[in-house]
Amino acid sequence: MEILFVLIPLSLGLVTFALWSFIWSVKNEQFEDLDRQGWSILFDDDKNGKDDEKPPEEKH
Amino acid sequence: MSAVMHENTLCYHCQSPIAPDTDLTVSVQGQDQPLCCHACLAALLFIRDLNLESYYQYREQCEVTSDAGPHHTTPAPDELTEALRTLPDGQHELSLLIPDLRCVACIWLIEQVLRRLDGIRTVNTNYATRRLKIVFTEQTDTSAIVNRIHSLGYTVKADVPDAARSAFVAARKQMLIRLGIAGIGMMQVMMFALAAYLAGGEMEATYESLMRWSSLALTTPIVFYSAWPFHRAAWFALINRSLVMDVPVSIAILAAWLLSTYNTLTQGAEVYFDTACMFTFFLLIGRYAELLSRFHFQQSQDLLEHLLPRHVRLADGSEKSLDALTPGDQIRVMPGDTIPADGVVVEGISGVSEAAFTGEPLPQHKEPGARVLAGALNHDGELLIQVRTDPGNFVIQQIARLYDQASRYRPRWAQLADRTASIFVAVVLMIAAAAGLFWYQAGSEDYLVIALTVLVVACPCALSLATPVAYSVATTTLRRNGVVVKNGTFLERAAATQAVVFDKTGTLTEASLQIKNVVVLNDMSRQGCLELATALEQISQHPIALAFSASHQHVITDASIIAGSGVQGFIEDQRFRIGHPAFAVGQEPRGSQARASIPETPSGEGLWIMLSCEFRPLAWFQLEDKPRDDAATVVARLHSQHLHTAVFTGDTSLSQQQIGDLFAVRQIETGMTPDSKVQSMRRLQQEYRVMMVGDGINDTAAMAAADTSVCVSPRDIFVQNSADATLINSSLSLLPRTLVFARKSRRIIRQNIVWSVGYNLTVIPFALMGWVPPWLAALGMSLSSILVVSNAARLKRMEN
Repeated sequence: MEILFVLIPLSLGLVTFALWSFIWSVKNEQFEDLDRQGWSILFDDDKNGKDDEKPPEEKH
Repeated sequence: MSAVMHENTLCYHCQSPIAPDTDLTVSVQGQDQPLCCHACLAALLFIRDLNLESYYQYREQCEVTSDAGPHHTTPAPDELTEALRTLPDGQHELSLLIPDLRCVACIWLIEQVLRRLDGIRTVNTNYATRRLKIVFTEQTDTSAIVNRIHSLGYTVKADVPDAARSAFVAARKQMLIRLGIAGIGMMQVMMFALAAYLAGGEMEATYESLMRWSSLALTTPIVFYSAWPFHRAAWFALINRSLVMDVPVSIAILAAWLLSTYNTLTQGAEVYFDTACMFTFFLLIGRYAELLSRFHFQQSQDLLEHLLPRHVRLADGSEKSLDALTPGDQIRVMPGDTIPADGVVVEGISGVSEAAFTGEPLPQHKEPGARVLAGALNHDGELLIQVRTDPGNFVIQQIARLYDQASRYRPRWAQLADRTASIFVAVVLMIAAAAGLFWYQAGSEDYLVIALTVLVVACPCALSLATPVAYSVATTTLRRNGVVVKNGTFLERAAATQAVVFDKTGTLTEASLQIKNVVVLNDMSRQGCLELATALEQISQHPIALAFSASHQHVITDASIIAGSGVQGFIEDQRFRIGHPAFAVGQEPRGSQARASIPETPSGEGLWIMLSCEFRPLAWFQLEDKPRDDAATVVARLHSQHLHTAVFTGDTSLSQQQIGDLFAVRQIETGMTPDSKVQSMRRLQQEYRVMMVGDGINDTAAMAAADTSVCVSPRDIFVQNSADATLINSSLSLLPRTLVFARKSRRIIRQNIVWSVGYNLTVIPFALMGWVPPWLAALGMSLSSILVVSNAARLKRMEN
């Protein structure tokens, strides 16, 4: 059971990391608009459209 | 081909209804699609040229709200400068507000279009707040960005920083962080608690101590950072010598932490870190929900304010700030612009959409003399408007204020709860202390734990939280459906209403004249007379003229309006007159000789006017007020809700019998003065709780006398202020729905009160006996609050 001396501090480390990333994402406005991302899956050519269009434009 | 389907079809681009005489179509992906105007056509062609037509397909998957419309305004350059910010890395950030973002597909479209501009780094759109942040480098011009969005057919406003709003956003972020820390910490602490629970006290002391210290480390930030709002509120209440709900909450959280910390240090019997975490987390969820609902309210206010431009153009071409406008100023409004002020049209004819006020999306015809409201959209003509009210008193501002007022209102029982809260909290604290003392006397080691449990259990959190939530959800739902509640007692009183009294003119009728009957006096056809009358009345703006709408091919020359008498005009050199009988037969102007005698007025109520040709009478027209389409249905629906109905009218043009035939109400009184309306109201109130529904100044006394009142399409601010609620889209059919909804709100609020009080009363005895572990008390309390809040959320929908 000595492993607990490793695992419990490890879990504390993980919680700290989770908290840090949560606070980071709140501060970076990741939670500002929750309606939108649900729809983003429908616009699947979003990336393609951008990749396909941009290079030719830059060539001109 | 597509002209046939234009009736009731929506514009393919902007989704607003198409005026019947429009014939614009465009081919999109091989199919002809109808459009409402050339602006939408241009926007669609622009989108098609960029190969982004798939926007229209994506859009169909989204909800399309009805407030969409082809708005075409751009912000002034100086406003754009205010909305521009230079980032530390030298790039620029432009903040824009697009009030008519309709769905997520709009965002996709805007982002796609903008990303193709050179120099755009990132485009970040927030659908919830309708705001857009664009980061770009030097080479791009702000006006190019704005024009690009504008050419898609959206309204673009500069999003000028606003202190109140940014404070709100910051508060929301901080609350979210508090909540997140409490939630994530709670999960881990409960994991340790579960391990200790499963081990059942047989865990080795070193491991148990390790878990306790870990829990302490996780709980401490929760108790002192996440729960800080509770401690703070409790502290301020105590130094002001009052007791609020936060006092027992704060004491319970701190006590659980102190007790557990002490036991951790001394290796005592048990720790309650999980209780402290859970209690904090679930209470914070409630606080966060409350904050969000205020935030949504703030946002809708925000959008309302942004409807109006900040600068207006005066008749002489100079610009003036909106706030500096004074009554009497003349302002010019171009097609596509939002009307910035309440006033009267002085010059110009245009269609004006007042969807923001009435929900009616089709533009209303406005000509000189017509009243226009700030926030309405001017569609196709240039208008010169004379301002009639100060900017602070615009109808749009009044609606905002009424809403604000109502949303701050606390219902009677909630006020009672506020007043008695300190006594209640004192009782809770005393019960907890007494329980602790009792068990200490009885020699129990757990006396502190029992006191703590009682404190948690007795906390009437659900009671204090859920009722205001139910109320604010209900008010917002009503507002969204077109009922602005001014007086907070309205919901309670509407729910208790047993009788509804209507005014007739303007309430059950539309207060617009309609041709009831045509009596032809010579050999002409009825239709022929109507055509002639319409041709003549065309030049007039009198309410009478609006009743005539036959289509005709007559060409009128030398038309003139003789004020107070009627209209005269010539068709193929023949003199035609319509109006007052004496005028029609040429007995006017005064003293002139009668060229024909006036035939006897046919019998029948209402207003009779005459059409004549060269002073020979051609026809009589009987004009009458038209009942609202939905009036009879509304009365029937009220009857099916077992309500008494009555009509009190000052009008004598219709007999009781006729009113009864039209509206089928149970009680009819005619020829009433405002005073006798009050008398009758008092008599009715001896039997029923009465709601008065009216629209005019003559109803206000009766409205005040009634238990509650509603006003329908008010023409006067005074009337709107005297009624408890206003039906802004002038559809009477909202009334039975509102009554049903009020009863539903009352039912839900009662359920909430019964549940939360019942829960507390049931569990307190068990806690006093020491049978409830603290974690169960915290869980039960939290679930109870959540149950009550979700029950209130049922008020988000209003049944038809």
